[in-house]
Amino acid sequence: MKIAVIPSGDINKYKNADALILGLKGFCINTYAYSFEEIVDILNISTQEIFIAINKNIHNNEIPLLEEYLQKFSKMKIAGIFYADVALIEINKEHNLNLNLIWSQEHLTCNYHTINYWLNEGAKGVFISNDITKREILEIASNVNGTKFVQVFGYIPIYVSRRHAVDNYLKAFAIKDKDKYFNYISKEEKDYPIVDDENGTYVYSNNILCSLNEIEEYNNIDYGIISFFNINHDEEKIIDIFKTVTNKNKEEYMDFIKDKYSNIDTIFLYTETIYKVK
Amino acid sequence: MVELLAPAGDLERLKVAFLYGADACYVGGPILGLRANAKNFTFEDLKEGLKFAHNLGKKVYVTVNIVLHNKETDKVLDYLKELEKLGVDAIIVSDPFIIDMALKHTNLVVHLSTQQSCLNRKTVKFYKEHGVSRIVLARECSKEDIEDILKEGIEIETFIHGAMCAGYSGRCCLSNLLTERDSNRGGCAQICRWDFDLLDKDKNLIAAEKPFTFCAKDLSMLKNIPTMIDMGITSFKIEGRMRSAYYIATVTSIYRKVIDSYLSDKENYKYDEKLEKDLFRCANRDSYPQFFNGNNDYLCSYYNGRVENSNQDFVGVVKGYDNGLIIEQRNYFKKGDIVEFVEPTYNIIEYQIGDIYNSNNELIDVVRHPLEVVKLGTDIHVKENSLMRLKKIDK
Repeated sequence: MKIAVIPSGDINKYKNADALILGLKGFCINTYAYSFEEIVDILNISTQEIFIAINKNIHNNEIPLLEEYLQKFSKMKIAGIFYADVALIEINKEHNLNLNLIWSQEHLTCNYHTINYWLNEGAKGVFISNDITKREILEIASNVNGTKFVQVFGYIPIYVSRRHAVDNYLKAFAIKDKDKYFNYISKEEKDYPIVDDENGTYVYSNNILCSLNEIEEYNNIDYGIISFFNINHDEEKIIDIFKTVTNKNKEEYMDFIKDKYSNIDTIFLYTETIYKVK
Repeated sequence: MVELLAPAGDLERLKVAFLYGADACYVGGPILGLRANAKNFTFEDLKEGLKFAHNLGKKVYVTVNIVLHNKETDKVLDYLKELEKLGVDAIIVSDPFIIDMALKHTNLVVHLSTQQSCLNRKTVKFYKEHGVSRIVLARECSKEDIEDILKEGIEIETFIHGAMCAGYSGRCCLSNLLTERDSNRGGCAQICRWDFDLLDKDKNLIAAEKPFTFCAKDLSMLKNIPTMIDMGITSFKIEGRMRSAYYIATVTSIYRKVIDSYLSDKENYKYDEKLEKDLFRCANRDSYPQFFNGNNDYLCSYYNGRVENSNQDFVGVVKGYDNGLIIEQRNYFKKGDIVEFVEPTYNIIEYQIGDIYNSNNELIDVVRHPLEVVKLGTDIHVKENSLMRLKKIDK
């Protein structure tokens, strides 16, 4: 399994990763946003695989600029584009761009039939949902032929809104000396990171997903994704751990991670959600 | 002609919605709908509901809009075939695997659910080319977005009234994480209406008069109906499959009245403030046009500390006339109360309750028991199925 990293800024901290996933400013969520020019500069110097995240819901007035960017990316040496909006599939077809599109609609990539539907419609891979169980992930991995990504470490996204929830709250109650960008919402002593940026509001899990114990079962999965959102230390070591973990060193590695992060968790890997309340 | 589309959580509410002016209703079937905890329709209910609707020349759409997990995929085809056999007028679907299966293996008409958060013309084009007949647009679309999308030449359905998801539909699993109830499979626990403490990056409380919440005001497009009709939107959708018969009757009949009033005489149409007042009174929550006018600011948010007024205005349903009005109770009422009968055409008749007789024909002063049938001693005639509500006295 290769390791792909969602950076939290300076990409020099992740030189040992196999791939980077760079958000395109104005069109990405849950990733650090780089301007088109910054991405071009990175592409010129990087020896790593570079994926671009264009994974927000696309509003109608954003289509012309999106088409322009996709046409430019189709001429560059990028490994692929993570997309959520079907508009990318349509534009890719209309302009015959032959982009390597990775379906990344974080809570909808939950079964292999639907994933295979998008692979038939032009996608080349999938970022498997992180709100399903390990058993479901493994079933998907066995029944899907495209390139498969699964998050193995980091906070997981749990909410996306066009609304500016924090900014609106600060304005509604005339709170002037607080920054809207990064905060937490807290309930029953659990604190959830919340971000309010130009595209809206995002909320993340209170705990950090850590799939170190599961990684050897992910042998059908092509890329493990580490998200360094809100994780700003020991990045190189974390990447190394996931690249070199074996049965022999797993316990030692896990001790290291537990020592550095008190809030690691398997989140949904062993927790099946329900929908009918009895 | 624009379609007024109402929600129906069960057979009773479906009939109420049609009697009060809906052209079509959308309902949840036995499985695979996004309101797993609503009463929903059995196949028998669907059969009866479809018969009732079709006799009136109206339509019933069935939601099949969950996000499938592996284990649910086996159930899909048999279920779709059953819906086809029943003669449902369309299914409302989110998962493209279901769309594909419905179009390849049945003759069902497919509408794309708002759960897909469709916001742009390219996405609409994709689904149109893949056989979808109608798109239920994302609630985040502005008027300009909708105008451009309409040029794609496919039926467009938009929400006009009701509760709003605070996040993009399909991209929220707050409920999954905080309660283990899957929001994309019908279990949403509405975490966006909860209160939270907002902490800064150092985890210090950001104190304000009221707690932080994602809660959005309800959507209300009453003032915008003429504009939306002129834009050429196919269907106006009212949210609320979990809402009461009273709510559905009131909201549906008010929008029916506005639509008909505008279509019958566009030049002399005037906005009726009284209808707006009645609409907001029934909903009990603040409302706002939300994204339609491009607004996305704090006026769309609802900071009420989750305190909502309980709506007990609705006190009974008229079941007929037999030397007095036969009323089935829905909420406490008593002799002397001033009430209004709301007929299906939104005609209002005021009345002060005089003598009340119980089922043994004994005089009583109060009606306390849910579904108790009583007779009001009066010679006024009111249409069957009219609602009886307490008259609101402005203070």
